Amino acid sequence: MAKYLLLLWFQIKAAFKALPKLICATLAFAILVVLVGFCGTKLLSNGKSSEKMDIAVVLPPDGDSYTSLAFSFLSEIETVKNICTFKEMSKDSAYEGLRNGSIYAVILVPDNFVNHIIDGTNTPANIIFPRSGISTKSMLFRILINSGVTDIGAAEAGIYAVDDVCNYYKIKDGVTKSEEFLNEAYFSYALDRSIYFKTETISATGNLTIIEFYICSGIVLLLLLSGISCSDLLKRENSALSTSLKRRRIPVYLLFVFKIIGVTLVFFTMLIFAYIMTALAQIRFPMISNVFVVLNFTSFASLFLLIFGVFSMVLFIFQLANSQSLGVLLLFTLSTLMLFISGGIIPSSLLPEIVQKIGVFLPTTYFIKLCEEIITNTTTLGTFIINVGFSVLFIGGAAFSDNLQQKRL
Amino acid sequence: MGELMIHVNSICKNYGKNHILKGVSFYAKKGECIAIVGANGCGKSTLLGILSGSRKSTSGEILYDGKDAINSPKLFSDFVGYVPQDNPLMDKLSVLDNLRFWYCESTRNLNEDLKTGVPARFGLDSYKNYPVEKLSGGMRKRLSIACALAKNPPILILDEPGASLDIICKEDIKYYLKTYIKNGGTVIITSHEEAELDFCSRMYLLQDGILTELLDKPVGQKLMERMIAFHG
Repeated sequence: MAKYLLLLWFQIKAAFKALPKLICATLAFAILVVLVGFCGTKLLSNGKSSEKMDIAVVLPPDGDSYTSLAFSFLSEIETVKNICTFKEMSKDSAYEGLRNGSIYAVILVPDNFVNHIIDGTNTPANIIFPRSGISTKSMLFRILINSGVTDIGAAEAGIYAVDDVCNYYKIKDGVTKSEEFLNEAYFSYALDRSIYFKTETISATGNLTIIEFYICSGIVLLLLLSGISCSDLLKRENSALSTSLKRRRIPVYLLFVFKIIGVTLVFFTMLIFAYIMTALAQIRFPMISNVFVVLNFTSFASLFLLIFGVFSMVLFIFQLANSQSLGVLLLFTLSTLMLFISGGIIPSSLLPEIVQKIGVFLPTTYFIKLCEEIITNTTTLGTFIINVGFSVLFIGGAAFSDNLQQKRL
Repeated sequence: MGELMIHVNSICKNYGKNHILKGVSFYAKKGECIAIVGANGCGKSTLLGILSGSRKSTSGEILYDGKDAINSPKLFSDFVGYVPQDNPLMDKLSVLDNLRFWYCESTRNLNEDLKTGVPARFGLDSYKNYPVEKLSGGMRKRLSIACALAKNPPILILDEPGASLDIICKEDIKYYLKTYIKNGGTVIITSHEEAELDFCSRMYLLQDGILTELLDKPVGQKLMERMIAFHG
């Protein structure tokens, strides 16, 4: 037993001795990963703000204050604000914008627009769309206008109908009260769009925000690339040492497990340190709290498993390569390729179907999944077991490869 | 010299259809040094691997001090200290840690040995905190021998110990081996070097899987002529 514990202790010691080197290499890789993540985030959220439609509002020259107020109120409504930006401008500028495509539509507001709505005159506002090249966005705006007009039309019809009923039965006191009541009712039912449209976010990144998504794949990529800096610790041992261990009845898979535990502890410590630093930074920079998650015990255990799994794969690649330089090359190529196929660079729902199907069989898919579950504190037994399975597979594969190599000598 | 320490009987080793060892037999007494010579790739390392218990023979019998080692593999590590051609060391660890690892199953006291034992004899005490990867080839070989002798085995098997070492280191190792033999140890050594062969009690030639004793212990030109003559 002493020899096993000593061997484990020596592997941990060797890994921690390499800590300064590993920190430097990890920081260098982290910069690379952040760059990839930044580009990915840009790609996924490409031009979100430019998707808004610029709508020109031309107010009458001696327009009343009610009209300006009404438009500023309208432009602040959440659903409208997300789609349109109302820009008050002169008629000429608005037409020019319409011609050069910078404006999607022009609303020409007549004199006393709001007063006429109140007194029932209802002078219509003119909405002008470009003659040619009507885009989807213009169409959307047209639909939005039509639905708004229908809403207002329905509300007005209701109010006027009640007015007529009250006048017919000579209930003069009832007119004002009924109008007030109906105004409120229509505003709360007909004009509140949130009742009509249930909001459901469907995202290529699943339940995660884009930032969370790239944090997950970034951690996995960082760990995989850090395998390059651990090549000295995880590379194939010289055959003489393997032979000597075998003579002492220390199975090679146990040596592999100890090596992986050593490296895993180093990276676990580094990540925990980064986590504590982030937690402390929250006090100084409250905006960090938007992305900071308080992890539970299961998540910490899963984090250990995630690192262990990734380095099992790294060790397997180095055993397979049988040379450190080939191992580094193979690790870099396989890591980026597998991460891409697993949807770690571009979400898998945006990848071709065949690539998605291949991704199901790759360990990187489950590394990312476990990472997702860690940062959302939702680790499932299924993902945990799959990751344990991959670790066993890699260590077994590495031991088998070592055995074959020994036989060849 | 007297008691029989090693008795190897009809050892065969096949890799698929290749017969590497074809019924190898020999013996060695306590305090004897046996040299095994032969061309590169003739199977010397395979034979030593089998004798040290790190490889399995296809058939045959190995007796250490009259005990059957093949059927009780623990005897290999109890009886044999093995120094393979490459050093079986953990490069990232210090000299002391490597020694600790090999001494952990030994009844010997490492701290005492660092003062008066084999590690001290090889000057390893001055390097005990050095990482192995920073040691010279000679010091690594000395450390490998010290590790192999951690359990104080009665048999020491060395696979070309002098390969790519300087003359001072070779002489130092040779001098130690003489002491080991004088103290009743049995040494089996493979080598291509005259200096390492001249203190052996007996010499065997391994060729085409067959081990033949060379009664006149030829070295240098004479040995080469015998090897060529064997091929016919």
